[in-house]
Amino acid sequence: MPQPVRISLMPGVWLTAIQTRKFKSSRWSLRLLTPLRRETASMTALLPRVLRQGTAREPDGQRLGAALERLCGGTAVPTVQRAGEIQAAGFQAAFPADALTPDGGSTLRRAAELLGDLLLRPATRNGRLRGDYLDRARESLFAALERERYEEARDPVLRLRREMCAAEPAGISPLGDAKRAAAIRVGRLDRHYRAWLEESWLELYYCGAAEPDRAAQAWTEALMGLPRRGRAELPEPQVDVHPKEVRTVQVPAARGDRLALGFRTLTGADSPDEPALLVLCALFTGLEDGLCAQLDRHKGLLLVSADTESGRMDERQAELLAQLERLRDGAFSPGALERARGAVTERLRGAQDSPEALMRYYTPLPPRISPEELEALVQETGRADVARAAERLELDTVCQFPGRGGEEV
Amino acid sequence: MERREFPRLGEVCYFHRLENGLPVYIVPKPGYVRRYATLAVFCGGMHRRFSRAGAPSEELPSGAACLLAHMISAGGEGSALRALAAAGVSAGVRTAPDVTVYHISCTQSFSSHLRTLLRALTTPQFSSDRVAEALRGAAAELDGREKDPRAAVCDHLLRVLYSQRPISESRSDTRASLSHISVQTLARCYDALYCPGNMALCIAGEVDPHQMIALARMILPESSAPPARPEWEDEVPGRAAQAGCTVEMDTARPRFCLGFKASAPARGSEGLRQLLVGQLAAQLLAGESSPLRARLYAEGLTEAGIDARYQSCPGAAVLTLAGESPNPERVRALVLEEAQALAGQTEPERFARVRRAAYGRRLLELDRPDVTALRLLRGCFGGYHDYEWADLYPTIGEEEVLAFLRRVVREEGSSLSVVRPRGGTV
Repeated sequence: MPQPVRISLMPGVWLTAIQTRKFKSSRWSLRLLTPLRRETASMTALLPRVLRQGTAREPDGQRLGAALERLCGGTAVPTVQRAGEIQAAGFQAAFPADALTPDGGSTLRRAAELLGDLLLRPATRNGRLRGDYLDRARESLFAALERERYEEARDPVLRLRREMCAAEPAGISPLGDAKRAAAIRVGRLDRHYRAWLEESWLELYYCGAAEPDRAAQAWTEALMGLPRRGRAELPEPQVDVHPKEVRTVQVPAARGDRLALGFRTLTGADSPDEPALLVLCALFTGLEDGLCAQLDRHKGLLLVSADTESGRMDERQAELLAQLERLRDGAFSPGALERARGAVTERLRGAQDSPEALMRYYTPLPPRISPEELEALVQETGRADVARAAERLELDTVCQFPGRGGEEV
Repeated sequence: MERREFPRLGEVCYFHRLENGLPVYIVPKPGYVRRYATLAVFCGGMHRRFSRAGAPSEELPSGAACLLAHMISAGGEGSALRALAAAGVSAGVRTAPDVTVYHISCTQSFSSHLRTLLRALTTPQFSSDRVAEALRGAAAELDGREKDPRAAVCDHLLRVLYSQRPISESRSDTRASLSHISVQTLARCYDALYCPGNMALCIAGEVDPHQMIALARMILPESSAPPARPEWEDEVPGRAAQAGCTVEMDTARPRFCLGFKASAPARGSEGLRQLLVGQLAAQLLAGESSPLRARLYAEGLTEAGIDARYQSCPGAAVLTLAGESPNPERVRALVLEEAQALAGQTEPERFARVRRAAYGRRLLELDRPDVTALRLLRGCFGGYHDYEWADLYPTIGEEEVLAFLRRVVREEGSSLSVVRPRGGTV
């Protein structure tokens, strides 16, 4: 896979571009990065949903839909994510490769132009964002919040993460909350929109057949008129958080008993420990069925969840901590280490075959190294590296999910 | 081995049928590091009745296909798919109304992993312990569907829209029905339907087609009894079995799935054409640029969007519109009104645009080898080559799509499945 090129387009605006003819589509992403704050999260989450409903040129959903149809069925989807203490909101898009469209015409400039219009030239009423579009966006956000609650009820790790970061900005949902979203009026949202454009860090992404310089040119023209005030600053990731004491919380689960343990890794994204932490997660996951460990690289969290039998929460916790001790002592077989490295390698290589996975790797905050470079580091990771990474882990929170019983077959 | 080029798609596809009847597709993907194998068995939730040569019809209980898939993939210690997953291979199985699909993908030792998958499928071990373990897996999957309002609203639609049992009951398994399935029943299901002539294999990635064929030939049995013949009546287009149903669930907002019965798909290229016409009709009626969508928005009926699609399986086809709405009945009324208005007028420019967009979205799917494989395999069971869609699209005209809408989008052929918040709170 060709290496990505980083290009600065204007102050606080960066493009990550990958030129490849491997895929039958081009992928685009435009994300504005801001500090995650409870007071503004709902407003920021609403913005892409409001903007996606119409531009000055295509002022309603019907005409915007027709514009995408003219671009051979391209898609432009509003997106809101969290990366540590950062809220990333904007759009991601896909367009069929020019070489395969019925007329073979270039979509590069038109695609960039449409995304630029979505961000900078919205449909307005009396010079402000439209109130009816806000109402629709709010309904869509409520639906997303409900899905988030549903996912959290099913996935212990999501709930564990929320418990661990409850007192930190990283614990705020990137979707905000329904109560604040319900209270937002269009005047306030409009003011927030203008400040958001002026003050955010902007990360752009392009992966497709065009040369990076051509992609940069298309993006630059599309973003003409982007207001820039001062220097967009991103918050430093708060990863050096030592837990004062281990917190244990109980959350009734719909089915089965689960136990989840949350550790602080005390390191952030792009840390030299990252390859070892990835291998450590794979080692943990490979220990037994029903055990899963994942790394939140932006926030420095290692989250473990495991099946357990009813009434055996404390014993299960002790077993898992004992497993961790063995990893700290380097007490694992060469075969287990090899399998763990293999599992991480598989995942990283797999990302190179999927335009979506590649975009997920490079957005919202592009890592300093490519999947191939990270894979090479993973291959070099030895027993001592894993043991050292395990040694640094500090247990922060234990979530017990006792099943309600009676629902198992 | 047959090699076909599809220049409009920039794709090549090899095809070979083994002596035992197994069709094998190989899709070269230059530059891909991962290799993919997808094996589909023509055995899904709607396979409830079948007959073998010279023997009377046999019945299968609801959920047999799903439970069998769980038993083969995860039942017992040392299970093949579990071993594959432990080796870092992405491996899984899922059961749809028409097929059960096993898939693996990996970057290393692909031939060895493919061998493991094919062996697991051809030499399953039936025992009570494995069935008990499979039962837990199947029950967990069922639990997920039942508690997910998006899945539940679609499952309920199948039950009220259709009168013929196989499709209407293809998603009707319950914990109780699963728990009554015996080892012997699963073995009977396997013997009847898991034979090479009733399966199809697709391999994608940078592979040597001849080597892959040789590998499949080495692992799979040399010959195979003809598969059992599934028995079902084609769903008669026209009247829906019931006008609708409403259930209450733990959800904050009402959700609906509105379905319109269409004719059962024909076999061969005509079946593919029907599929493309149906998908175009769904986009023309309720796609992003449609007047219907604008009207639904304007009346505040589907603020969070609406999903329009056309799907078919053997014996049945349906055009569906799904989403959240405070007033699903009003949505149905507007859909019928707009369909009538649409069917009575031609808009060549809009039609050309919608067709172009549908073509482009199909192109986007080619970046997903798993989706490509499943389309090719379903096409194989339906008697057509899925890649022919690129040649067919330009031949589909507006009048053909409007005629489809006139035929299919009618009140008496519709059912409305609704999921409301428990206790009536919205």
